[in-house]
Amino acid sequence: MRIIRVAWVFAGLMVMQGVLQAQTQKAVMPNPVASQATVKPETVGFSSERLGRLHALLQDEVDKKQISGFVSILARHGKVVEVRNGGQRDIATGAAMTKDAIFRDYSMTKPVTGVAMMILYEQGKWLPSDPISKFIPEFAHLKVFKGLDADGKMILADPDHAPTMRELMSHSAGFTYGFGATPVDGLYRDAKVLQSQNLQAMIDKLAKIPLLYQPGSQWVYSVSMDIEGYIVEKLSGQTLPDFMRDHIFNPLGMKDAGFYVPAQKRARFVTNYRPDAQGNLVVDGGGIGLPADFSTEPTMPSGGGGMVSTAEDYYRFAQMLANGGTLNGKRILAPATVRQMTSNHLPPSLLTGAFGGGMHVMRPGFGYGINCAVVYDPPEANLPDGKGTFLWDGAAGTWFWVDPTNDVVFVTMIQRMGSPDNHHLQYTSHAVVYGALVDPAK
Amino acid sequence: MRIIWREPATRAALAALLFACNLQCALAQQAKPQPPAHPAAGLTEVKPETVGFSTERLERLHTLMRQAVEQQQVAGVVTILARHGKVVDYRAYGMRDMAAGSPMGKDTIFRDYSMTKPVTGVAMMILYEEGKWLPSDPIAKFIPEFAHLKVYKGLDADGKMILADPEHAPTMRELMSHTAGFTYGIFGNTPVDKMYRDVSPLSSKNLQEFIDKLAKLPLAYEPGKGWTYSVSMDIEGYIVEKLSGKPLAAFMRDEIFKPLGMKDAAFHVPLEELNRFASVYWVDPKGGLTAKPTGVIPARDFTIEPTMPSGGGGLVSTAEDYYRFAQMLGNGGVLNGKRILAPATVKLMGSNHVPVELLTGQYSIGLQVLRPGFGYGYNCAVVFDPPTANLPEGKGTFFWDGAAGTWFWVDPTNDVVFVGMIQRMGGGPTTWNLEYQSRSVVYQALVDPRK
Repeated sequence: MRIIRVAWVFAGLMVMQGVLQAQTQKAVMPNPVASQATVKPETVGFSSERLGRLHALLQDEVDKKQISGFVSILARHGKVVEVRNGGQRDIATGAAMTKDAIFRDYSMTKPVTGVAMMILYEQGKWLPSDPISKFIPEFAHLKVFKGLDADGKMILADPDHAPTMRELMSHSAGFTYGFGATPVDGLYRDAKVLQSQNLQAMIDKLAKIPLLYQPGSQWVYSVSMDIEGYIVEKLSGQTLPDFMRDHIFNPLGMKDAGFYVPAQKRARFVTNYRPDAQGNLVVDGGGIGLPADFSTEPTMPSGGGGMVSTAEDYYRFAQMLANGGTLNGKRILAPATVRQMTSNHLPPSLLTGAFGGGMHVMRPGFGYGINCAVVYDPPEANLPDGKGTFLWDGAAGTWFWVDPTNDVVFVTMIQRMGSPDNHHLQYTSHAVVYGALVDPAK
Repeated sequence: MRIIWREPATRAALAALLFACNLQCALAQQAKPQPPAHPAAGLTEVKPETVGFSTERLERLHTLMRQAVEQQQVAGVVTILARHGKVVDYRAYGMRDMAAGSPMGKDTIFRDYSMTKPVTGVAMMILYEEGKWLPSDPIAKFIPEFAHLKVYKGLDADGKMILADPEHAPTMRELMSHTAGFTYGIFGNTPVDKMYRDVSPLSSKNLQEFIDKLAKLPLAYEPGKGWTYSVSMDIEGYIVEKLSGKPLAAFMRDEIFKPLGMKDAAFHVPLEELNRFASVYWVDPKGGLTAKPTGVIPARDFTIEPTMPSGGGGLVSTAEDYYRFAQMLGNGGVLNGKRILAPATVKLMGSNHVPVELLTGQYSIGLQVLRPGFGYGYNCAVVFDPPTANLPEGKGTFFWDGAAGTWFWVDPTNDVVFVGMIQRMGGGPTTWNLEYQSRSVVYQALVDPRK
């Protein structure tokens, strides 16, 4: 009991310290993206008045207690148009959401792992046509699930072709996540693939589980980007967090990006919520199999969902991609590599509406590149974005997009775990942001 | 729709008014290029050559319209042609009323009928930009009355309807592109069309009653599996009211008509403007025109504000009103500094949203045949591949027309806007197709499209 009270006091102190820090920061540095030029919306084609709808959209979610709080960044032509925050970092303590709040990125880790892979691609370490087993010999004899026989036993077959790196990077190699209803998903759950002690243990488990489908014949959201994390380690000789730190986070100034939140930053860590059966926000207790404890460096860094960052950290990453691989003179990738990463890699036969998750439906105009979705024909996909817009989101509702045609970057961070409303809010923000881009020629 | 101002007592008074107006118009035209008074106040008019048109070749447009009047294809016409936001050609031909001998004027008010649909589309897109709905939303999210719509699957041996649950709930995208499963009841002859005719949803007292009637009718086909011209835009009118909290007429007035200066655009013609309201004619099977109604479009009294505003066909306007609306779209959502929509939203509205496998020629309404290169966006047709569609305009041209023959198009590639207003019901394959004839004639006059 006493310990708990001490913890509360400690937490309170941390919060107070956070507030003080934020106030001090405010005096010294008006906003956390001060290192980026912040400009009036009109100078880059946005209407200030119409951008009011974006704030209304997000603030309305807070006011209706649908989300606890948000930090949102919009930029065009590499210039930040606005950074907005609202609501609370923690509802119980009443701590306000601050622009330097740290969020669980979950699947928004995937594009970062994608960039790590593309760095190694540029170093000549792998090719899209390579079989995955070239780098993971444990996968040399993967079987493919073909259904159940009369006794309920799995029918297995050899793959038509060895799954390739391209398929791995576009969720079409045959892996799954373990959240689905198929017998193969059941095997993932039984083996606790995502809760492995380390990446080698994860690979060893996956080596014994059949592929869910013939490589290239479906699109299924999967552990593929966790497998990529293992490949990054193997090809670079560094741990995944170290590789990302040295090659992505440090050069780009992503100060709080990492795979855990160190004690001294804990006060800025946003509480994660989820809607209960009645739709009310309750603190999320984890337990669905995704990383939930961010207090220590994980023994198995998840390339598919393990990162935390501030909104600004992720904005820096996204802006680097929008700039064709560079930010503030730090070159991460070449333009051609970014383009390759963010082009559709799914055949038309998979873009029929039969595959996808939530509102990310693979369909004509909307495909999947390397570790991100790609809107290659926006009107066809029913979206207002520019051609070639790429995007993804995370299980706690964070989302971003990069629009190379209009040179727009958008990042919004919330922490609402697993809500079906997350996608709706995400796509509504597309409608509202493009409704404010009144002078795209600027 | 018996036309009040045909009655002798008012006719004399109106003739006087008419004369005054004609005089005023004539004076205003002489006074050009001096400012206002002219109905095109706020519009820039330029010599055709400055924006790539040949004055000489545009004479063919005038000849076409004159001949249409002379040969009694139409009583009268008003056309407006613009490029790069500047009016190139703006003329009135023929009669506003043949019996009275009153000439067509630039300030004549017309029944827009289905040209209301793109306006309702813009109303919907305004709400889309406000984050109020998404194309992927089920319609039932906004109209719970539609939560249990069935789909017509044919007739059983006893001639009874076979009904099934839809494979997916019809979506807003499908509603906006006539692919949700609704029909009109007046054009088709399917068992579902007959049910529409029996309950006559479009003759409801108000939009709520209209929705309640539709909730009891099955969809005519699986959502997304067909294209049928339909009451969908009337349904949208109901959604506009629900999402905005305003009557459709008030929403359009505040958000579209007033900002754009569409002075006479409305769902009825007020008494004091009736002297400018064009008479409507029907194609006479014996040749020429008749004032006697024939055909399937129900008559309507345009002199009173309707209790059920029709988002699919209820508007009246002058040619200039509609030109202002179309030019706003041509400009990517803005006119004279008044921003209605953002360019990306206009592009979304004016892009094809019908699955290409439906663009085979099997779906059509009147002369508008969905086919390769010719699809349907949100509340308007879209020519996404003009040569394949056998049309001379630029890629991405979007357009529609009305039951009384009015037509318009917006060509974003050539930055051309055209509006043509007539009042002829029942035009068909044997009558002049001014909508497409004018396309040929306008583009043959665009001799320097780079200008």
